[in-house]
Amino acid sequence: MRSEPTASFWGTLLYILAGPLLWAVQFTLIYAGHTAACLPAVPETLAVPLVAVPTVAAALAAVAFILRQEAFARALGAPEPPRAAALHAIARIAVLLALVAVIWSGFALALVDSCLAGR
Amino acid sequence: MARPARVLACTCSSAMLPLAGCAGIQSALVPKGGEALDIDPLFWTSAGVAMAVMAMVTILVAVALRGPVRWRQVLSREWFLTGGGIVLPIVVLTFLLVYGFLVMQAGATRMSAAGEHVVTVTGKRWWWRVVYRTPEGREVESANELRLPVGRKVMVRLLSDDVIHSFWVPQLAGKLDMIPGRINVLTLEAAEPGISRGQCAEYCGGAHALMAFHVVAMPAAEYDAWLAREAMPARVPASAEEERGAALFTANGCGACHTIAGTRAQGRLGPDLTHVGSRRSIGAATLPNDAAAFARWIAENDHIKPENLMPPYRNLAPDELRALGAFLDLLE
Amino acid sequence: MNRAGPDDLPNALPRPPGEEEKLKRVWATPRGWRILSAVNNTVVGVAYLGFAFLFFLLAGVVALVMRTQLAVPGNDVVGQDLYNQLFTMHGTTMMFLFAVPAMEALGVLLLPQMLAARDLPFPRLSAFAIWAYVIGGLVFFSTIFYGLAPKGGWFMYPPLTLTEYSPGDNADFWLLGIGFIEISAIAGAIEIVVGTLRTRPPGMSLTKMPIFAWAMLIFAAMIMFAFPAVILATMLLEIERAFGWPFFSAEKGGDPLLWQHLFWFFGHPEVYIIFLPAAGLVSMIVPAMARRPLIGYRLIVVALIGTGFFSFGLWVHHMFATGLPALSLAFFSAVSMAVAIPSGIQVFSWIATIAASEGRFRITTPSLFVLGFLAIFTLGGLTGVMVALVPVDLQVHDTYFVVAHFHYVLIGGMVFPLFATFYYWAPMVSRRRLSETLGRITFWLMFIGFNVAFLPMHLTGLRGMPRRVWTYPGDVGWDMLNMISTVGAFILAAGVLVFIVDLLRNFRPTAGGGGAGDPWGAGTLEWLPGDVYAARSIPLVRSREPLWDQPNLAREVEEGRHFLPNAPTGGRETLVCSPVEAKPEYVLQMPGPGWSHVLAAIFMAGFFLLLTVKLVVPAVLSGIACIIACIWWGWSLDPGPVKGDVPIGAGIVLPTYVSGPRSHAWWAMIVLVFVATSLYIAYVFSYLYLWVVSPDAWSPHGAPALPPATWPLASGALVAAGAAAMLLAGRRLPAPGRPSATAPLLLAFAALAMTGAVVLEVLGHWYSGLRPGQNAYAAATYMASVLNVQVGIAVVLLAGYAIARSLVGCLDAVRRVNFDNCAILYPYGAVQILLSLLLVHGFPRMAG
Repeated sequence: MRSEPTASFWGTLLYILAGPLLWAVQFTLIYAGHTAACLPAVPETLAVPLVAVPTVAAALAAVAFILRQEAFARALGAPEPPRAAALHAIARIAVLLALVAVIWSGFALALVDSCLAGR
Repeated sequence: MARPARVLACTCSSAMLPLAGCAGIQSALVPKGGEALDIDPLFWTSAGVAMAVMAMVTILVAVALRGPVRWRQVLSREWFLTGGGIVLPIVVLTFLLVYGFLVMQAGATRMSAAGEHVVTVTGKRWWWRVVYRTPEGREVESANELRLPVGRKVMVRLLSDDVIHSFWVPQLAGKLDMIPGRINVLTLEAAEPGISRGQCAEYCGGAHALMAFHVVAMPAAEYDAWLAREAMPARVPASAEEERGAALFTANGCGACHTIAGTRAQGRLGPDLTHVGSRRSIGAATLPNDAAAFARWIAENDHIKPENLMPPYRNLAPDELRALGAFLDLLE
Repeated sequence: MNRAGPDDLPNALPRPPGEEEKLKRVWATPRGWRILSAVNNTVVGVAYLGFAFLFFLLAGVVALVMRTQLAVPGNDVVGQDLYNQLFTMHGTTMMFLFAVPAMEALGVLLLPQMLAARDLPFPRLSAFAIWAYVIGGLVFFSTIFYGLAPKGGWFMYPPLTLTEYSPGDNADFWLLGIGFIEISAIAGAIEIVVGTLRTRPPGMSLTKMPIFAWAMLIFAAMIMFAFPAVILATMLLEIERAFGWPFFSAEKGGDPLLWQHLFWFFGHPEVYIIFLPAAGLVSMIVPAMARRPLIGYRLIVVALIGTGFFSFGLWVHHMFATGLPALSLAFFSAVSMAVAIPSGIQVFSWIATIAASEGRFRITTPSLFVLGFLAIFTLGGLTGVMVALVPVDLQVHDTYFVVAHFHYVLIGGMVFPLFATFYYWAPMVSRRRLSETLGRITFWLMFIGFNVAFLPMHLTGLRGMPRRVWTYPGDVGWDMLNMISTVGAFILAAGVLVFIVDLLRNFRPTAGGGGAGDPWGAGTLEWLPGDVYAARSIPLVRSREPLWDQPNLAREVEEGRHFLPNAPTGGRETLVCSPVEAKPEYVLQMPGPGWSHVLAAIFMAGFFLLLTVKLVVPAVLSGIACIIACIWWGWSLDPGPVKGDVPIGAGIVLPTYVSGPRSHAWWAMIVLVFVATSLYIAYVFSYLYLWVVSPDAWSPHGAPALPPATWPLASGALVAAGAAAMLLAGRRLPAPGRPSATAPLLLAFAALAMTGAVVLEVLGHWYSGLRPGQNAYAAATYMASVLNVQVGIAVVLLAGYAIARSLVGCLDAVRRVNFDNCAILYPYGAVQILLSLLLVHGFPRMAG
């Protein structure tokens, strides 16, 4: 317990919250982007890239996190695997959960018109 | 929760609303028009999923509590937890979400395809101003009742100039708020003739509970004829009592707030009374529409509908109230 | 199982004589009426919970009156105006005076015990929050007796709540009541975040924390980000009511929907703020009754985190019927679905743990309430999925279907776990257990009554009955259903009545001493034997259920063989560890009982109350008295390093005073900065939102041209210079015992510079001819300065305090916590002011 380096709190926090934070950023971007696209002065078609780009980017980032989890842990100063196995499991599952939310919000674009009044 | 039958007898005898309707007149479970008909299957699908999941969880809890040891061992496995807690919800919810999006898209498309029939409904405290636009572009004002031609898409513009109200006719469509500074548009399409009831669904203070209205769906030809009649000025009093009522109406200053087309009463604060006698209710579906109810309303509306913005006229004698009632009842 | 040999324990036997007596003396609870000055978490925690329960009863009685009125159509037991007040009070009281405080109370009461800490890190802060809440809550509730109660609904939508449609003080009382809860909630959040992260026992790394601690940590974090939105909303509403700044009036470019966005950005997370701790409690009770560790601990932690995040992406689902664009609604519909997955995880995890029971799952009163919770909450969650579908919501929104839905979620998800908690944890604080017999009667009455009352409401709503109606017609198919609901409500109430009888007969709180002991054989630390000082020594933790995995732990702890078995500084203290892996870092000295925080709470309550009834002079006097009480309170809190380092056992010697990022004060300030940041973000959102709605109101079209760029540049330069002075002051703090004027002078300059920057900004707009009542743009512009003034006042007070401490020789390069507090807030304030300048002066130039 004494010999290992002390884990960084903020790094660890960022590490286990990586997934939900990714979702939060994507959600903010698509909501704001879509609102901007529905302003009178802006062409409605702009909604497509404004929603699609953050969605794809967030999804790719989530996949990258899962594939390179150890590297992320090290970079952020979280306790490195194999120490604290539970922490790493938590971070991984949280990213998967966020991925579902990212995809669900994103694919609405394929089914629903952007700026018509919602019914 | 089985699909509910009409278990309640159709008594139609309450003091509140002796006139119109029976159980189901305001029910989302008895859809009779465009949007409500689209929402119905989605509702039942999601309700079915909910009931199935509820049944599953109940059974699983029972097994976990008192089931055979072998079954309980299965329930405590990691894969059971992942499968039931993560995979199953994702599959079921994805299905519901896609279905919901499709119904939403249908709704949005319907909204954009609304035709040339336009009605503007303004939420007031606590009644509804209804303005029809005739095919010739004339505006015909009414209140607390909406008539619809069966089979035609009608674009209903929803406004408010005081607080937020919400326009809701469960048998025809979901609700849509009336928000000061905004114009919301709802497309209504009645599938069959009949009477339906709507009510304000956003708390708007004071007499929110007594802010309802009727929707009368009628065959298109009848509707056109009705609208033509509605555009005409009010009937003139015939009997002596009706004439006395008209005189009292003028003498008591009713025209400061109410309009009766064809007379000098041109007030805009209260509901238009030009054809008030032909409506199904008065006081925004608070009282039935007859001469006695008019008399009661004029004398003690502050008891019938507390906080409403019309002053009570207690100074009027019973025979004066009767005359006013007869006059208003005549305005068909 | 790893049994530690006697030699591995941190402290050896025999313990020195008098050690335990000294602990008892130091931690003694004041007796008689002086108990009002007590700060011990078990004492104030029980009081907190008691008052929350009182409000539950009061709001419950209000509900019974409403149900009586609705029993038959056309009823007139209560009239329209009173009914409108009643439902407003019912919602507001249940949400703000019962649910959130009850959960905070459980945090105060249970968390330190579960973490084997002697108390929360800021004992007087929680006592202060409790007294503010009690006084504010009681005054707020009593308005119902004078017809002064608010009647705009607990959601208080403008324009209905603007002065034009709600004249009189009623709405102001709502804003006041909420103000108190906002303050006590934020205070509680600081307490819980710092308590959970820093006062865990050695060895209890994050992933060994009890689930309840995780739930409370996320609860507190959610308060940090959700409450600021409602704080801003209530500020805007009160400012519009009092001074006519048009944030919500459409005719002047405001928008009623702005309130709904802000309110629900708070209001939806609020539901989960209430639910998460309750779920955490269930995750504690289920393993205890199953005698097995929770299955899926990791998944549950993810579920809690996921719920915490997703709940911030749901707010628009209260606004599906307002006519927003379809795709926008679709996003929120998707997240409303996503938030169901964590609930699914938790339900299946509890089922798995029940199935894994050693022998069979024990059926006790707590487990009955947990099972009742499972059934009711699951159904509430499922109807939640239904209302997450936009088209379905358009039909059921604002009807009794939704009333049924959220009572399933809230009563099922929060009240049932709370009753389970009462029965489960009563032996921890009471000399006697509650009765199992009465408990079972309570459960069945409540469970049956609840379902009889609320199951039919789904149908009532589908048949078209809207919410918030005081009466209804008899022939539309709602009468029988309403009668059934009313009968159910009274059965539910009968259950609560039986519980009160049980409380009166059996609940005997011990004023901080140990309770009846552990009747359940549970595995977590709150069941360690203890006294007023909590556990005798703070254990070294190796697993999630230490009492199961270290069978001798209770005895070792009681013998004083673990850490800190004494009071080495002679005062109250607890152990502070590192936040992730819980390595011991220092011994925190804590204040004991006192009156300063009680007076501060009373005068703060006086300030707000007098202001509400427009007695301005007494209000100001009360406010000044509050500040004086706060200074008195704070004066003793920075003891300095006088006690030196002390041994805690196992050869570890720890400091008794630290400053900087390791100190608990630093963490509290960081939490506060997060709160201020989210308040500011809510403001930026409001500014941009109003622009989206009424770009025409913006300068230069709808308002005078902005002041010349020299104004904001001068303002920015001032605050930047202040920040530099602050930085320099930190370097020039004198060595201990060597007074110096440099640091106080620099502090004074920094405070003046910030004041100047804020004043310059206001003057610039004033001279340009802009008046805040003009339109939404003007109101939004001046609102930036309101928020800056707020931070500015805090900075000036902290700086003045640090200067005063420095003049009396209590501030130097080592004893510097008072300075550090100011030095954390100052750069934050500077950044906020610079961003405001950029937004207010840059955005209109860019967009115009």
